[in-house]
Amino acid sequence: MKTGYGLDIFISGIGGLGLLGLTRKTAILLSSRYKKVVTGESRGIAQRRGSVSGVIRAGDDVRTAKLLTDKANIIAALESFEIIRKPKLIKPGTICIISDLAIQNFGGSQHKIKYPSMNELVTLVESMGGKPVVIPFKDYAKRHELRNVHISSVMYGVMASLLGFSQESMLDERITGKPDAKNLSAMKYGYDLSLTVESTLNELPSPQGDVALSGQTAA
Amino acid sequence: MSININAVEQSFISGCDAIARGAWEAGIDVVASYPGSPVTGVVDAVTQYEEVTYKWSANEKVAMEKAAGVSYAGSRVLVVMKHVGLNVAADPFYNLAYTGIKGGMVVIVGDDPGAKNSQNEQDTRLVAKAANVPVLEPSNLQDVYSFTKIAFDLSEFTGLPVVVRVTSEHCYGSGYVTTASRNDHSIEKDFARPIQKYLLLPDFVPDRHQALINSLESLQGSHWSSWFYQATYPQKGASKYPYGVICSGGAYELFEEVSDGSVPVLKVGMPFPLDRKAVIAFSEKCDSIIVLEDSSRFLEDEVKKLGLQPVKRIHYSGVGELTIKDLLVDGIPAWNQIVNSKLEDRHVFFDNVIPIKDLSDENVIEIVNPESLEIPKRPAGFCAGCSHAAIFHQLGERGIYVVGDIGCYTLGATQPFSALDANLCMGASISVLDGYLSVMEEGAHKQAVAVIGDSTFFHSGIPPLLSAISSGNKGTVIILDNSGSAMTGFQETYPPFSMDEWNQFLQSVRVPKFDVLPALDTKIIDQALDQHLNADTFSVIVLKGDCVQSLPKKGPTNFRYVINEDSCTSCGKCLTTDCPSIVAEIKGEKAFYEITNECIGCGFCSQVCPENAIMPMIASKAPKLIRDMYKGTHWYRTIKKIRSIKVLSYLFDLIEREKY
Repeated sequence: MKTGYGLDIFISGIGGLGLLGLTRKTAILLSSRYKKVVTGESRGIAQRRGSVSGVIRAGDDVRTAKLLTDKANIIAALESFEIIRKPKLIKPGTICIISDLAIQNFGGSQHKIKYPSMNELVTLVESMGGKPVVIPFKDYAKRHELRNVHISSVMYGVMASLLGFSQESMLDERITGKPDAKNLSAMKYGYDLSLTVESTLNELPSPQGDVALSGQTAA
Repeated sequence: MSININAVEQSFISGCDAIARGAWEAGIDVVASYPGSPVTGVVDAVTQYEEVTYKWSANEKVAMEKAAGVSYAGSRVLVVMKHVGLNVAADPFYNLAYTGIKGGMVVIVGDDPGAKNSQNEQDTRLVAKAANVPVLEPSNLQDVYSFTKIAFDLSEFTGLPVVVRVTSEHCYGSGYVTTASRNDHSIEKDFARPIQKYLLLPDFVPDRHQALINSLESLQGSHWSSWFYQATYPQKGASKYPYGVICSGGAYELFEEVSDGSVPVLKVGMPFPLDRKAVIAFSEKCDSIIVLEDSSRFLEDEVKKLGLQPVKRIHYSGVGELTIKDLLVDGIPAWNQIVNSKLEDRHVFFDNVIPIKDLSDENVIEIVNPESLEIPKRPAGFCAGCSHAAIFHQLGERGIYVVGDIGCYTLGATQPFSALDANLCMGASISVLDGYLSVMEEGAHKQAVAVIGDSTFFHSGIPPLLSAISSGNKGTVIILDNSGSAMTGFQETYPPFSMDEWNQFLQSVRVPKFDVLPALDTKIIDQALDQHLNADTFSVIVLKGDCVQSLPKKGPTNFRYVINEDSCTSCGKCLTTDCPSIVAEIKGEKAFYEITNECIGCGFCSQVCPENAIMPMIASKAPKLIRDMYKGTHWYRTIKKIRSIKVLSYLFDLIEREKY
């Protein structure tokens, strides 16, 4: 009998923010812990600022990259607004990592859309039971002359830390290759940020079920 | 993650990587392709294998024909295209089934259920069957790799090309794949003979058709066929089950994850030609049959032809991507219970994560129903500095009917341009316009144009151009030249033309009136549109610009523009350029605009600003007194003038250079 427990991560963003690389890197990192890890991406016309998303599924009996249920354990948004791109996935307990990078341009209809404040987004996420975690990227990017695409490196660091991996594992060259100085420091910045999270997700069930669950099952 | 090319190992790779790896291991010498999502990445992945020659073809038909030559000579060859590309290559594809092949020939076709990157949801299995070409359908990434590799042996066994049908889910997915090393497939190359096989004269055709039928029949029920039909039964020795599932493609993975192991399953890896014996043997053990597949009902229809009656799937329409709800069926509650149990919440959630920075109010929060949220779409749009933007801006302002084509410029249909009214398929714009003008009233040519990109023009736009010239109709064709296939990531599928070469080409094919112009100068574009739309003849405008995808993104940017707040009246006209680098922020009653560092300095926005408030960054840094002096300067034209003087251009490059 299969356990059915697994880790479902949904990453949302906009073309050009490095979502593809983040999805792959996080998946490879997770593959050291889970028997099966698969990813899927929805690109559209990716490099032209449309919405893009990636799914990472990890577990002992994961086969398809389709999210089977309308929920995710973790949702990571490389751009603030994109945290609610798939609001159905936010359920009580879903960790919602929100970058404070706000790209207010919605294409030709931009002047008709009121872009929500971070406060509004956080409130919305909480109202659906999600646990918002805001990543302060904008100031860091300004101080270090980073481009928007570096948010993906910061987010990789956040994910690695949140998922309970060591910094050494995160920076394994088989995963990251040889990152340039800006990407490397962005990863470390992200990693150090989420170390401030008191309890991390490293207690998620392993494929063998040999790690005690610290959370609650919703069913 | 890079792959060790010598060892047997597991690598975390994408579906496109898996295809390239499988083909390389099978010993291919050549890859022929025209780019198209979702399979463009296959050729990118092949570039790491030095034994393989690759070069983009001008279109899929050319790629298929080149592959035919390679195969006839005795080499193994991979042909790669998206599903609609196979329509373009249909002529050689159908005939290759008649001539047969020598070196193994595998055709990778990328289907797009859900049409996220395509103009339709066509199912390649139907096309392969119509051409009498065997088609393999991998379920997961390991299959994608191994089916591609084995398909070459299968191709040589049958003497036919073999299609491997992959989907966006495969190509854009990634996971661990166990790979091996390259097989040596070096054989002596020769010209193919006899003519009775390779020359499709009407006298020879019936024999070739018979040989094709014989090949397919010998494949059905062969050891090859049984390799692609794997039946799994939950209990040893049981003679009968209440129901069983026949699956192909990605549906098999979905079944495997949903199933609790109590359901017999027949995995079909080769839906055409169907192994009738395998399907009947499986169905005889089951009282009812469920068929699970994505896209069309191809497999279900093949099963029905055997006299079997699969149960109805309640939600399945064949439209869009397959979801878990599509697995629910009529009349088998036990199966529906298994599916529904997976639809329930079985995740683990945690209470103990403390937000890094919680900005929320401490007030009690009203619960929001996600169903009621209206999330604005974030549609794709032109890149900052796109050389296509200006023409659609001008066409939109004129409100004329625009027949478009396939490429980035379909984004001209989006707001605020709304300047594209129809498209059909690659290369169709010119012929569709010509058709309109053949029957519309006199003067219609002043109200409509055809727009086609350079890569699409060289793909399949030249014959329509020649026909349009011959037809004698008036009409204006606008060719948007950015020197490559930008939509798919900027591949060079033909040698780019300079302005002079365009002039020579258009002259040599006898276009009565033509102009080759810079792409982003709105004044020049407007003048040209006036002249061409009012011309008493067929005409062509070529707008030549750079694709920003081909420019060094991380390099220094010259002449970046900023908005001079002293002059800006917040009229919002700059937003009509839809440039992603212009950001609006509304504070109270007033909108504030800013140009971010995405700007590449194309100057399009500067031209549309009625106040000339958009100026180069360097000019904005001058003291206010000086800024007031050059208020009203038309900066785009000024910079263009400076750029035309070498010394000044060099000097400005030095002082305007940004740090990143």
